[in-house]
Parts: sequence; structure tokens; C-alpha cells
Amino acid sequence: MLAIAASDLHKSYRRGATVTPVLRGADFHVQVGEAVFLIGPSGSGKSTLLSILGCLLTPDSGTLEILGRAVETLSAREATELRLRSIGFVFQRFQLIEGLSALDNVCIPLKLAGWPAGKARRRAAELLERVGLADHLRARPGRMSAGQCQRVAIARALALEPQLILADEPTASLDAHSGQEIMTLFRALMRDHQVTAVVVTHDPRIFSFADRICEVVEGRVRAAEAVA
Amino acid sequence: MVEFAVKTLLADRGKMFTALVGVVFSVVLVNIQGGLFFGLIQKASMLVDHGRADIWVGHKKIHNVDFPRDIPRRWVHRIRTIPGVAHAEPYVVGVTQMTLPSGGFEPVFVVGVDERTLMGNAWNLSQGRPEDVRRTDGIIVDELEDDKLDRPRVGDLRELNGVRARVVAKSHGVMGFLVNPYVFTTYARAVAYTGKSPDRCSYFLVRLEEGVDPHAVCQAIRSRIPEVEAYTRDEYSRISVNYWMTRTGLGISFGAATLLGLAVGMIVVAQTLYALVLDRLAEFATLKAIGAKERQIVTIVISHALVMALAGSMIGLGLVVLAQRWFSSPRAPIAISAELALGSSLLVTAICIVSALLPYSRIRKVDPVSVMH
Repeated sequence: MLAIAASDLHKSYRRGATVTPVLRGADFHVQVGEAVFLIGPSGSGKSTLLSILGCLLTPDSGTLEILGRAVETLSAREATELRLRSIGFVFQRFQLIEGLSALDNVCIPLKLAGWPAGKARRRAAELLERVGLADHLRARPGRMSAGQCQRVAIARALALEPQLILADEPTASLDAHSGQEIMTLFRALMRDHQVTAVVVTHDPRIFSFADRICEVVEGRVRAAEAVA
Repeated sequence: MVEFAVKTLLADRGKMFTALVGVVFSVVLVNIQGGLFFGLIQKASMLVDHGRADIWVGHKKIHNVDFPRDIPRRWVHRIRTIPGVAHAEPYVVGVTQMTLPSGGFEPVFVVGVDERTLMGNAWNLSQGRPEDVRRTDGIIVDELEDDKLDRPRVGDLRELNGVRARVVAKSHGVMGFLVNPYVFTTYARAVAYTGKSPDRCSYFLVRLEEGVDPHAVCQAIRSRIPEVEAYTRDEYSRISVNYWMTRTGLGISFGAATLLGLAVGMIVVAQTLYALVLDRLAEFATLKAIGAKERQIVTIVISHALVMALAGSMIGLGLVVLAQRWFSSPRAPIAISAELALGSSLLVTAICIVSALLPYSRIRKVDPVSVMH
């Protein structure tokens, strides 16, 4: 069963009269429960593809089904709802809200989904405990290490138990040790929550955590020939 | 989302403090300006407000309690026969000069009250009693006008229009809208002090029987004596105030100063909210990316504005109470009503919300995909 079915995706960026094609007929399919890593040189279209998969960008043409839903038929409101309830995001720079504690950061998607405050806080506390931050519920991002911040970001991504996690360079801001720890945790949580994941990365040290690695080259996706 | 908004606001205390200063500044300025305005303008109707008369009867064209035109005193008998009138008395308001022991002189408003009822007499006496005005040559002056009247003590003599007058009591804070002090005395002496004919008076002060409709009696008075106008206390108070409001541009000048202060305060708020948002565009992009709806983003921005408005109003009103306690005086009263306090808070809240629309327009343009870059 497919979690992602993307066929013949095209996407170009326009700046004035200049049109730069980024995706040129990309086909990409991911099975439910699979962890697929996207690699490729800078500018190859990895982040654009990830943004399209996360309903943050609309392809110029092609078809895309996320979790059985045809994305091109979704209204902006439905796409927002899909992002909130079914897709979890892990960003390269964590994208935590500086003014909020770890607990409050994890509460954000729960609050956006309308959870009552008490229930949301209990759920957030459970998740933070699960990612090893039980002692840091009240800590603000500025007071935590990069590894801890990424743990908070992962807890936030999992808050509403999404079926799909999209991670953009999740270890890029971490040292090697923290990167390994985060990916170990990430895979464990994927298994526990039965989540599908697409991870964009340049970090060959974490390739071993992938079920499958795809390479984006010149706007197309192909199976990577060599995995470190 | 409100909790989220409050927490993010509290996290940036520097900006919150700056915005609060803007709101507090606006609230204080509106209330103090408004309070001074109302305090000053209320002095224009002081005699009416404290006169204890239910109805004021005067010349057909009266428009200000301090500037009456005299009418025949004998008409009072016609008013006394109107059903519902408990009693009606002549009342004199006129201008004369007080000669001072130093050789100087001071123009004063002489107010002559009925010797029997003392209706319209001085109030809030700090020395002596109201009925002392009945004593020979008795006048009541205000202690805050001491400097103008060569610091008279109770028992001291003065001259009004060449006629002897003795200070028998002193009030505190009975100061009119104009610079001329009030001098309260009996009707008969007021006539002498002002050089008016004893057959004429400025007003008839009317007290009504219990439960009588004052408007109906006013109408009956107008019908009985077409040459006069009759107003209820509230009506004539308002007319006296409007006289100064409309003829002096006082309302416009106070209003303009208040609006200017309001604008400055709100520019500070708008600028701070805008800066707050600019600093957090990436956070708003994150919220959008993870599924925040437009309504929820609006809630956050409006909540920022409301928190500022609420906190600023509370602090501002607290400062206003202190300022009123410390600086309000009979000479420059700061009259802050509940309506003014509530109105200013609502106004500031509304402007805060409008101020929040500017940063919101910036947030609307934030593309959630920017979090991927």
C-alpha cells in the first residue's frame, strides 16, 4: 500500500523572465511504513520535492497522492488540515518557537487541532519523556543543545500521531554523535508509531537508517546506486 | 492560541514593555486630558449643579448661567401659582467690582440668594455656616480666591460697588469657569452690590413638589409667562456647558491634543507590534507549515493587541487614579467619570486591534514553504 504516489511531477521557479525548472517529471513512490531517504546535489530538487509532498508547494503538473488523497483536488484549507493531522515536519533548524518552553512547543499542533489545554500538556509531556527530555519540559530552545532541540522538534512532529513524517536535513545542525542518537530515536519512534518517513539528507553517516535511498538528479528521482 | 500569544509576548519583554508604554501613554493622556476638560467645563454649570433648584427660569434667550439678562421680579408670583411648584424665589447673578484694602480692585460675580430658603447659596464651606450670609453685610467668598481678594479672613471688610461687605464665611473650591471670583450674599444686598433695580432679578429658582414632572412644569411656566424660558436643572447645566464648548473652541483644542496623544501612543504600539511580528516571521511560517489556519494566526495577532490593550489600560488607569489623587484641585479639577475611563479603554483597545492589522498584513504574505529554505 502506497503512502506517497507521485507521478511526472514538474516544478519550475520564475524570477522575472527567467524560468528555472527544478523537477522535470519526477516519479516517487513510498510504501506505508517505509523510511526513504532523498539524497542528491544541492539544487537538484530534493527540498522542492519534499515541500510538494508536504503540501507546502503545488507542482506545475503531474499527479500526487498523499495517504490516498489526491493533493491537486484539495482546497488550501483542506491542504492545511492534511498537514496538521497527517503530516509531521522535522526541519533542519528545528523551527521551534523561541519564547515557548519545550512543553509548549510540542503542544502547538495539539492546540491547533483544538485539544483542550490540560490534555495537550499531558500528551506533550509523554512525548518529551519518550524522546528523553522529561527533565526539560520547562526549558526554552535557547537553553537547550541542538540535539535536545531536534528531539523537541521530533516530539512536536509526532504529537498528533501523523501517518507521514517529512524531515529536511534532520542531522545537519547536529554533531556526529547527536546525529546518530537522533536517527536511532527517530527510527524507534517510526516503528512505535508505524509512521512513513521521507528524509532529505546530505549526511552519509545516517544512510544506514534508511529502508531505501533515492537520489534526485536533474529534477528526477531514481534509486541510489551506492549506499555508504 | 490566546495562551500561545500571551506566552510569546511575555517572552519578548523588551518589545512588550515598549508597546505597553505606548498604550499606557495613550490611556493616561486621554483620561487626563478628558478629565481636565470635563473638570473645567463642569465649572461652567457649577451654580446650576449645586443650586438645589429643580427648574431655572430666566430670560427667553438665556444661554449661560453666569451671563443672565434681568427679568421683572414680580413674575415670581405667577410661577408660584402653577400647580406642582413648591416654592419659587428670585435669584441674582451680576458683575461688580470689589475694592481691596491694598487699593486695588477685582471684578467679581455677585450671587444673590433668597434670604429665607438660601437656595443657590455657597456650598462646601470651610469656615462659617451657610446661614451666616444672613448676617449684616454678610458675604461668602472662596478661600482659593484669597490671592485675588487680598486674603480676606472671616470678619474682614470689603467694598462692593462702594457698599460695605463683611466676609462671614468661606467656601472651598467654589470657583467658576471664568477668572472672576464668586461672592455669595442675600438677594437684597446683591441688588445693591450690582446696582441692579430691586424690581428685577436674573432667575427664578423653582423647587417642585414631590413626584411632579419638571418638564410639564417648565411647559406650564412658558405658557404662563411667554417672555421667559424654563429649563430643568440638567437642561440648563448642559446649556451652560455647551455655551463654552461651542463658542470657545475649547472642545476642539482639548480634543485635538487628546487625539494627537492617542495617535502618538498608537504609532508606538503599531510599530512595536510590527517589529514583534517581523522578528517572528519565521515562527509564523512554521505555524503555517505545521497546519495553523488563517483564523488561528489572526487570533494570535489580535490576542497580542488585546493583551497590550488590557494590560496597558489597567496600568494606565491605575496611573490616572494616582495622578487624579495628586494633581486634581478645585482650580484645575480632573473629573474622570466611569464612562471616560471605560470609553478610553475601549478606544485604545479598538486602536490596538487596528494597529495589529498592519503586522497581520505582513504575516499573510509569509509563505510557509520558507521554512524549508
